[in-house]
Amino acid sequence: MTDHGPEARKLATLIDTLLPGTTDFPAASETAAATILARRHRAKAVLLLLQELPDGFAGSSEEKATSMLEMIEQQRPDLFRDVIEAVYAAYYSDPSVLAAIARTTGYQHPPQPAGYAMPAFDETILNHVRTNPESWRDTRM
Amino acid sequence: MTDASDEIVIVGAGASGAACARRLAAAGFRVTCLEQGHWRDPTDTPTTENNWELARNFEDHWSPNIRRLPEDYPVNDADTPIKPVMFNGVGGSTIKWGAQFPRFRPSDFRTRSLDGVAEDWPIDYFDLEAYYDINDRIMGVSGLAGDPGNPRRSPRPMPPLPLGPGGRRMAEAFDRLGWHWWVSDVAITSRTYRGRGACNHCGPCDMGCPRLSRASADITYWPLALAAGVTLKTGARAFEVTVDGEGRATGVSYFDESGAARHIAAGTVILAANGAGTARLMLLSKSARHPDGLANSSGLVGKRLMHHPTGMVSAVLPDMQENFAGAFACTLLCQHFYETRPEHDFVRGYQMQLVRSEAPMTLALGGHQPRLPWGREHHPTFLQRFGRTVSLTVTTEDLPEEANRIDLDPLLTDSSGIPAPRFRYRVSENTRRMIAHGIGSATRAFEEAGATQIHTQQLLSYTGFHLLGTACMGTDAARSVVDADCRAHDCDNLFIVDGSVFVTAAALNPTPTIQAIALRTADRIIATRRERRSASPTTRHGWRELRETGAVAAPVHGASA
Repeated sequence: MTDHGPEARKLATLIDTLLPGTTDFPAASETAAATILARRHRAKAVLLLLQELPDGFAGSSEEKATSMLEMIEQQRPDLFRDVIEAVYAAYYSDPSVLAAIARTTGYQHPPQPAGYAMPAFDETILNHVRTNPESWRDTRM
Repeated sequence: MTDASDEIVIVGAGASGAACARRLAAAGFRVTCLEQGHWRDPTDTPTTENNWELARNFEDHWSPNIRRLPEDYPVNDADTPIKPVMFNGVGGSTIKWGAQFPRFRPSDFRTRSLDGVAEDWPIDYFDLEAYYDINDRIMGVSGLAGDPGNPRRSPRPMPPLPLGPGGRRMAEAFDRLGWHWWVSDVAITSRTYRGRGACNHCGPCDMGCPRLSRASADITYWPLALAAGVTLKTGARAFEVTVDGEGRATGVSYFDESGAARHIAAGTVILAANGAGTARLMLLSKSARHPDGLANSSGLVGKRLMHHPTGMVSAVLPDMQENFAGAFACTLLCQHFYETRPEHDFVRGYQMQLVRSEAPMTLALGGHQPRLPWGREHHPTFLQRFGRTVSLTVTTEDLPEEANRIDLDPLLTDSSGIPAPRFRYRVSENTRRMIAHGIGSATRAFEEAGATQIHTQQLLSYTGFHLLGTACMGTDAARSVVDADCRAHDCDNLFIVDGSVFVTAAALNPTPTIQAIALRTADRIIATRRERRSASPTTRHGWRELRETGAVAAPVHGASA
């Protein structure tokens, strides 16, 4: 994030409370998620929520911020669902997040052109089921 | 010079229209196909971009109401729990499908005789068997013959796709339970095939395949159809099948790319616009001889709509990894509960189809599993589930009911001002019981496999891929719209070749059966023209002898590709 104004700090607190960093994954504010949210029409719900959050939200502890968001989630479930959708979508589009997923799980992103190597189908797994009796009904009889 | 009676016009360039067009053109017919959408470059897919999941979830969606491309028509889906999904373009909905390619079972065509429900089809599995084979070769099917749960079939063009870790675990669980399963037939190449690359197991087949591994009608049938001489008009939005004073079809009126109204004359009209688009066009085509819509003296056009109501059970296999690799929907089928059984509290049955793990954003937003929690638990939960989930869809047979229907919306229109289809649909009690049983079965299978976090969903919403039954086939003109050859009872030069003609829906993905019927219908049209020509020499020029064109003969019986 390059904007350090009050609204930007509130947004950073919001998205970091929703998606805090870990040893494996960046916090949401360390990604381009905030920029994406400021740009995309889907982020209207986020902007609406920011207007409803008190001025002190940006400076509150993680525990307090979490408590405030839990209350809003209960009171405004539709708005909060839209916020979650927008924040998750922005976060999981970020190259640094996708790189973290690749490091921790072996996931290939984007899916093409590399794809994955997989062992070919092994017919021996059918040994048991091949012995089943025929189970379709012959309508010619 | 030729006259209009030589021309065959097909509406819709999807799976059935493409197959029918190619078959007819290869036999020497002059064929024009009208398609309201356009070509989509198969090598230019979102899956080469980092933000491909944004496209999948929000932009290039299965639903035309969300996708909202100019060539899409909206659907009023307010009164149905199953939302219709489709694609408008060359290739139709195969542009955005998973390419499961099962055949119906023989019992699917005989539900009245065998189980006392719905009606029998006027054709059966064995009438279609040769056409299934032709179609498998053209679409490029991977799989394995030898399934004791289905009639013997020809060797598959390619070996099966890999099961992957989730598939192996569930296959072993099914074996321990004594439940029948088999590796899926899929329209995806497991090795290079007719200029298409082998699948590299990237996963999201529904987003298109730059390697051309996943079949779609635009890359399989259409090159053959164009080479055979079919004229394909894209950006052509049909709004009426015109008729003469006797009620016979005379052609199709459409809006061209510029929005100008045009008419193409035809001696034969074939509708291939899917179970929604075809019914819509027929209901739009009212005339003095067809006051309730084209070929609708039975009143059944638009009625008897069938989907495949689908539940899902998803679970985590904690010791499994990387189950995201591989075609997302194409591993194995369990048809153990497919046929009617006296101990069940429902008639007919269901299949369970294995689905692999979801991609990151989709997993986070919640699809197969619940949405990931926010806060400190988010990333640990992600790592618990990602690549470790496996899911079973419970796909049920939807029996026909006239109350389930499509009609014309009085207000909603497409961008050309043409009334949009309105869906009215309820899931039946029989289907609810079937889904409940299936969810119990799938849950038991996951427990047997040692899964945790088993999550069930009674009815998936965006699963209206299969639009069936809205102009059904039958021998009684009062109880059906088309005959066994897909010729309209009320209009002898009108044919329908999409899923509209299905008498019952089976519990299986319908595209192979739709395409087999389209190929068979083409052969019936060819045979009829031959018979007519033999009985009474004609001065018309459009139907040319095969020997004059050098086209490969296309026998009607013992059909060949």
